Amino acid sequence: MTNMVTIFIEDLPYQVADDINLLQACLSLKLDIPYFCWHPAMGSVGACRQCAVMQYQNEDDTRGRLVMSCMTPVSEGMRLSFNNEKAETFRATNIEAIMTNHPHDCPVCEEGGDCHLQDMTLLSGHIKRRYPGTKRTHNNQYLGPLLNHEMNRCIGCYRCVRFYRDYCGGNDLNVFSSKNNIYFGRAEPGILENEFSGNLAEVCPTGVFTDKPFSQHYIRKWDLQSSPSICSHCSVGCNTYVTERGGIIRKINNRYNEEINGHFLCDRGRFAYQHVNHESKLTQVWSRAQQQNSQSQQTHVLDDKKAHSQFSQWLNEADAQVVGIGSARSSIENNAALHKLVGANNFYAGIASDEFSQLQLLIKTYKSNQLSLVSLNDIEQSDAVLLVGEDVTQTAPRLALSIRQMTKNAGIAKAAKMGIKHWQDEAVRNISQDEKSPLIIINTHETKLADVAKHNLNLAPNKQLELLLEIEAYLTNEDAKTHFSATLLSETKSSDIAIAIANELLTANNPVVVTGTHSFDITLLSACLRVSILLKDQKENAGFYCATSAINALGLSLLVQPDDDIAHDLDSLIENIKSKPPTLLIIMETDLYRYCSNEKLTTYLDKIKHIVVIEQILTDTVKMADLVLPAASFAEQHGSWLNNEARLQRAYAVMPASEMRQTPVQWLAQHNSLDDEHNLYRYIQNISPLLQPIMQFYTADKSDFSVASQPMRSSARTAFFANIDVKEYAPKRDEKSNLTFSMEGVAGFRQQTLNNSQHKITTPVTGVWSPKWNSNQAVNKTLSNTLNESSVQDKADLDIGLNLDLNLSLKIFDHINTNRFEVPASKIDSPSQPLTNISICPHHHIYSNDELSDYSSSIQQLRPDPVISLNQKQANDLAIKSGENLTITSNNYNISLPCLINNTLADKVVLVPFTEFMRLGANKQVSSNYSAGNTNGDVNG
Amino acid sequence: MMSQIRTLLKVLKHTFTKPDTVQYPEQKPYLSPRYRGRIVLTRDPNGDERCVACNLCSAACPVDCILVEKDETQGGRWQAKTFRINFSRCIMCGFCEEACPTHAIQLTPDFEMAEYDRQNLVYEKEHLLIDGPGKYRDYNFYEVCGKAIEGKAKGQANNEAPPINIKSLLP
Repeated sequence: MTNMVTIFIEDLPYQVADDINLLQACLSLKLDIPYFCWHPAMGSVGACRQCAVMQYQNEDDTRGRLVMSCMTPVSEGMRLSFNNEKAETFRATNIEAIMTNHPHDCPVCEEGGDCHLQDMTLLSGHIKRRYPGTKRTHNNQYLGPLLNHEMNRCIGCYRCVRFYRDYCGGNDLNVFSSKNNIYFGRAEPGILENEFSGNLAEVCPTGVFTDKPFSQHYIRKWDLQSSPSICSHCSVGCNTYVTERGGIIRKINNRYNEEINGHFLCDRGRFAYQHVNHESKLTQVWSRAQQQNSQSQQTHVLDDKKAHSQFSQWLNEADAQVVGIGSARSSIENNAALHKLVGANNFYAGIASDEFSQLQLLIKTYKSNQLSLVSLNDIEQSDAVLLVGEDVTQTAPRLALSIRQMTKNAGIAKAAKMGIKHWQDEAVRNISQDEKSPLIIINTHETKLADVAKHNLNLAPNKQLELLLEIEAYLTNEDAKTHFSATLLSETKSSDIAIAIANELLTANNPVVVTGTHSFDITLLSACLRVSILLKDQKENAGFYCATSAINALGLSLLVQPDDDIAHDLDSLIENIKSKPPTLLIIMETDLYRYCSNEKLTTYLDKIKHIVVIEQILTDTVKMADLVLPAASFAEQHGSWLNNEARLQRAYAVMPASEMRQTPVQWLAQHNSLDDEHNLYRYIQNISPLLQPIMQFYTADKSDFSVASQPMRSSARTAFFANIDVKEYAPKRDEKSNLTFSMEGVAGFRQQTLNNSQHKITTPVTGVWSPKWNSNQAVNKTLSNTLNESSVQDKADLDIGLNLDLNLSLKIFDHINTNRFEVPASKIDSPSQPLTNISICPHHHIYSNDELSDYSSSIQQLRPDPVISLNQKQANDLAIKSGENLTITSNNYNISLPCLINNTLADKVVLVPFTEFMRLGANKQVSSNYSAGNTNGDVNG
Repeated sequence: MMSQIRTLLKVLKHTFTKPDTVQYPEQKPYLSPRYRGRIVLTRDPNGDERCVACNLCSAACPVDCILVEKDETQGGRWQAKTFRINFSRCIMCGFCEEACPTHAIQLTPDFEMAEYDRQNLVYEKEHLLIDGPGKYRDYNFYEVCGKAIEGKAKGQANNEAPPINIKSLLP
């Protein structure tokens, strides 16, 4: 529990929380204390000596002593001076020494204007270099397509290695040499391996690590127009600032959200935005028309009006049968608009059937309120995690980072017993040594979290299920023991490992079961759900987290509720097309060719009279369309997204939609009579009452004040379009919200969001800035008023009448009535039989899983070559060697890829790249050409 | 009566004084080199563009009439891809020159920029760039800057020690 204590700074009393260090306390009081090495997420090490303040014993003490505020806990009645002459001199001298070797680079440095070192240098009063001597220099390294390296600029704060090694568990970045010569880099130049390396650009207080793609279309920070957005590249829903200038997305910045991403993003989320700038993005309406008297077809550009008339003509054909495909990467609003147009029974989710049934199961279970859905922050605070069947580093990377932090909690607790605060980084690590909170991973192969896992079980899917059932049985028995004492219901005998795992979970205070839908195995998921429900019965604080495949997968499945009880997923749609093709198929932001093999799908699609595709980018599906309507990208529209923990969040447009692009809502508005926003939100509530909180966004968007998306000092206003026309026109307005695409309106640093218990986000809406703090470190000054009711200054800020609540995030399952639902028990047909078949499982990769991030050039460079992985034993059985091609066949399709030996793989498992796995569809098997005996079995992957 | 005669005399006297009017444009007035007129982009003593597209002029401009967009050459030099000044907005205040860390942007003693069409007052980079170093003859930013470019490796700038061998065991 945090208590408030009173401290005296310059003899004035202040109330601060007692579990933070003095530096953080002072920053939260809006005092400008310079620092480098401290980071709120990584704690203090006292390396840079920049945050010195004078501490006094008592009122009579006039001499005082210098303390490093980041290493000093706050205590009741402590007396400090920040402006003391000695302290000031100390800080100024210190930074002068730090700056001796810093190159004269600011004009050609990407960090300039966004640089913590610039801010701190000015803050400490060092404005002119007195050092005339030579500067030490370093050679740079190539660190891959994501980061630039410029070692000359280093000030040796150690933040990068502490972040990369201690926080993210990377081991290919390190510190070399000694004294003045220290060097932060890799042993050899090469691509940084960790999935969170992009954060180094934000973590580094100066320009040693800078964002490489950003550098290629560089804009100074003060010119970047930004808006609050939600990352749409995995299901976690991290909060971001999207920044733009001149219709080009320049950079993604982290937007602090305590509950989800905190201070860090993954590299996919940070660099995948480039699809918005991609050359093959769609900006025109394209139509294909059959030439009269000839077979050849021509595509041509249509104008807005013609496009609509064409579309409505097809919609209103006499025997029109219209089917729509919703998208898991499009917002709830867009999906609802399509839903209205085609009707519930003709609305299909753009999700493969395996996952769709998993999602339906999840929703039913979530509705029954038997589980508590935890956030990433809750996972970081928990003390045991069971991770089943999901390689989270690849499918929901930010989640993996949270789980990694979770393992540190045992050490932190141990340190707390000795009176060491959690932010005393070095001391905590010294005390905890190898002590880790238990992380139990059950997967088909070793994942990147294996180094912090207590149990790391690589098992074939059937074995995984078997183990889960054993855990379940053990928990049921335990449950029975506590409730009825004695009557043991031992149907299944639990193995030792199952008992060990169950006991780990039972001894923890708040264990969390983490899983995902990426195994595409519903039995495994329901087993997980049952285990977590049992756990929840015994442990009030037990939590559950399930990663899904796309940002809005859960939201889309909430909308798909047909009257007939048939699953409305992609596979059933394709079946339908096969039997009775509709006259008009409307495909919204789904590339069907990701889910189905080329030849088959093309023949099915050819049967359909008209295909309308609403899409952002030129996909294979778009090439099949008769009419292409260009859709706005995530950065050009307002949209609500439901992430995997059922948290409803809103993203705002950062720029007006380019050329003819419109949101699907706008394209369909003329045809589905939902031209009014209010009606749209009413309709969403009607289809799914659970989404009722979405109404709050709608009302939040109507506030009296407009908010400036551009910073105060944005430049070139009168020159930007002067080449086109020297006359100046009013900036484009955003009708849908009170964000403006200009510098007119409430500036970022004046934006105070509501800070109530319901939604705790207090991050400014359009970017962090604080007077004298131009870098992103200003976030530590804006995250001030936690618990601080007496903070008079904040009250004054709020008094200007701003109630901007664009940061709403609402968990939709929190307050619903329970309707009982029993998760179906999973069964193994014959668990005792030795497993003879080969399971074909998907192999996920952070850079190749997501559809839109494929269009990002820097991510493309990191994409691994597609290979099939298997262990040596399996390879021997199949009589193939590493590098030789292995063929896998299925009902639809067959693939042949070189194989790679990976001995961490479980026996009887073959891993196929995710996209190929999806295309293979049902009935996958290793081609029977291989000599060994047991390969002809078919196993549903 | 007297006052009218005095006036006539005064006017008559002025007929014999030297006129202040200059016969512009035949006769040009002297303007000091520091006069703030038409803006130019200069080159360093080696003839390379001085502008590194740092955007400080653009930020300093009180009427926001300068647009700079960064580009990078193969050799690692920063350069302006776009450099546009809208002279129909420019107030010749010289803040851009003060802000420029590389002495690239300079104001010159030339004010004859009148145009019939306002659109012609929008100057692009090719209109601004001159061949010489302007007022500051010797300054070359990349000689003092720590960034390595083609032809100047790490440690070759003024006041720089050679790069450190990080694999050496010496302290």
